[in-house]
Amino acid sequence: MANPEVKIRGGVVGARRILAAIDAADEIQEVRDCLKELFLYELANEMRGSNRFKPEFEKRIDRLSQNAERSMKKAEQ
Amino acid sequence: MKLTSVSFKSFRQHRNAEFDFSGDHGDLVVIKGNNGAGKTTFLNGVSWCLYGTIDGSDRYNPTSLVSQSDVVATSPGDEIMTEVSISVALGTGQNATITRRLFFVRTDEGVNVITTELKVLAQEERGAGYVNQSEPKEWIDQKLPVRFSPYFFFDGERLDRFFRESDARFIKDSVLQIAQVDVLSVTMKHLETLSAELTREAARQGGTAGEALADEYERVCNQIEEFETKRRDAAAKVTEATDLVSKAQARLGDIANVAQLMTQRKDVTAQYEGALGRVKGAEDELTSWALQSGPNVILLEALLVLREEIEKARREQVLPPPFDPDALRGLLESGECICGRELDKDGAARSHISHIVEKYGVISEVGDALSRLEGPVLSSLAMVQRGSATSTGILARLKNALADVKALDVKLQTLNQQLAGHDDSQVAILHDQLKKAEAARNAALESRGRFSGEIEHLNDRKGEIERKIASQRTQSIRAADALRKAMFAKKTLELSHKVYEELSNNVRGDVALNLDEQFKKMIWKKDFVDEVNIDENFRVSVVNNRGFEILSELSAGERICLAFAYSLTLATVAGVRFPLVVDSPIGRLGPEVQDNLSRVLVTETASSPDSEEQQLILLMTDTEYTASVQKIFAKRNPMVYAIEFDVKVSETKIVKELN
Repeated sequence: MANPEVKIRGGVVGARRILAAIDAADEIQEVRDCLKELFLYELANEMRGSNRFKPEFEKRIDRLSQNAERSMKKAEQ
Repeated sequence: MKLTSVSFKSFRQHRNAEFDFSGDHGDLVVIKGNNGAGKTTFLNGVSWCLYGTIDGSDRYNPTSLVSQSDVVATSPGDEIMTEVSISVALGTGQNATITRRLFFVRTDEGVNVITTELKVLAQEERGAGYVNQSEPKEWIDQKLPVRFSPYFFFDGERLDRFFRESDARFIKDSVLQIAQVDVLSVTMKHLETLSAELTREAARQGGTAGEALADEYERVCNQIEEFETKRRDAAAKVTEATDLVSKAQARLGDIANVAQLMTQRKDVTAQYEGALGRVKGAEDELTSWALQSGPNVILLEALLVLREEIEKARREQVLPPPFDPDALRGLLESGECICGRELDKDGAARSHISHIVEKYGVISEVGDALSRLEGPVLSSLAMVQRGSATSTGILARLKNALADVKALDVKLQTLNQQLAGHDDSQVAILHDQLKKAEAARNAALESRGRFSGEIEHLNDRKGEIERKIASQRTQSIRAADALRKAMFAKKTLELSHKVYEELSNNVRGDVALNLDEQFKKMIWKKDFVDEVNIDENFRVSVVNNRGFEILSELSAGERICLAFAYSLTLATVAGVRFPLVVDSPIGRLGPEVQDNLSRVLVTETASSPDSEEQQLILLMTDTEYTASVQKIFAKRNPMVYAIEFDVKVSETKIVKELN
């Protein structure tokens, strides 16, 4: 996936608003990051006309869930 | 953002044409030409170049795009290139050129497509050189997203239908699409699929029991999906039926007065028919009376005349008084008068009596007969007199009924005049439609409720299984991994639902506010509109200053205004100033409304301290670009191109007119 930030700066105003709403949500950082990344991936998919999502979605869920677990453990300590 | 030039090569009748919109006046462009001159081809060329679509569809015959003149001018084996090239000035000061080409090879029968090409050359920054973009489609979708195109490149006919046919679903789709909330919903769908898969994977780590749980989980998920599809269908039916109910109600409201008159006409027609029935009844009665009493009347008349004649004759002594001829004959036979005097055989008395008997005997018998008839005649006369009273009654009833028929006929004619052009069946059809739509809505609401109940029940079951899966005691790392991912995916999904709901409402609210503001600015009847709103079901309403909902009553001009306002609103909410290219924008309007709308358009798309100018490219016929409209447009000093189809060479010729 191309750098999502480039696309956002390119004028995808709707997406920018969605990302801001996710950022403002009352949820842990990792879950918010995960949704943002999945959404941006979907946006790129839409532009490419692709419907492929599974491996990329799972990759991000795996990485960010591990991060979340680590953060939780750190917070517990 | 604005289009600075559009050029065509071998694109239908635009064989070699260039429209240059750069310079000071390119923000308001009029391309004028008669029907068939190439205006719609211009619009089609723009959307084909940017999105590869014709009339919003990518299913078109590519060979229909090539110029027929070029096909005729070439020989089999020759190559022909169709090209549309658009230069754009991005708001940031950068420029770009988008070029789409189709290459054909000439065959004996026509042309075959060889290949297509899309190229974007863009400046990365102001004043820099042009760089060929490796992903042209993506570049276009970032700068001129295809989702905006239906609201910025369209023909006037669609504009006219924009809100007349638009239902809540269309409004919802366009609002969510323009704000890209639809992409979030696709993300949610994918996330849901993956979340379920990960949960099942986590379950399967728990041995045989886990496998069973995974299977059950899958079954429940599938059932939920099935019911969700059914619920969506039911919800769509609810929306559709609700729209139909509103439309039928509005339409019935429109013709409420007509409906009232129609009910009146129905009543008067029934009364009229009743009066006609009474007339017929009286006539029948009269006929029956005449048949019964007629002979009596005729006979009576004759008898009366005869009696009168006899009495007259007696008065004038033309006839002797009544006597009995038989008695006289008896006297003659006995030879003795009633006074005792003998009647001599040759005496004068016998001769006189004989003369009376011979001359008046028959008459007297007739007179007697008449006298005998007098009794029955008098009784007939009495009967006729009674009959006369009956006939007077019948005649009075007939007279009244005829007077009613006359009065009701006048009433009916007045109602018919008031209802001229209105079809009686129209109201009945609408009532029928309303009834059916209400029944369909109730059925759909019931189904939706039932499916929601099922889904709720299944979700409870799903939650139970998820808890069981989470509490499975397995030592494997794989199990822990799967569970972690599954739980995390679920959390992400929950967040996406929250964000989706929040954004849908926020964007709807923003669009509603902007539309309200934009339409009020556009509508020329100031203070006429109190509020334009989009409710939580994405239903648009326009409320006038007297508190009435008038969306369905807007005139064609007002509706077109609302459509323009909606386009500009979507652009505002999405944060772009997209060029607006409209084919025949005001063709269906009367001169006065054409002027009003033109005035509004040139004012509302002009630059202001808060916003950049909205480029407006209008493709107009001569009947649209009237002297009066020209005068209004002159305030913005538009760029005008006149185009004309040259039949001899089958090609559009363009002339840039001086301002």
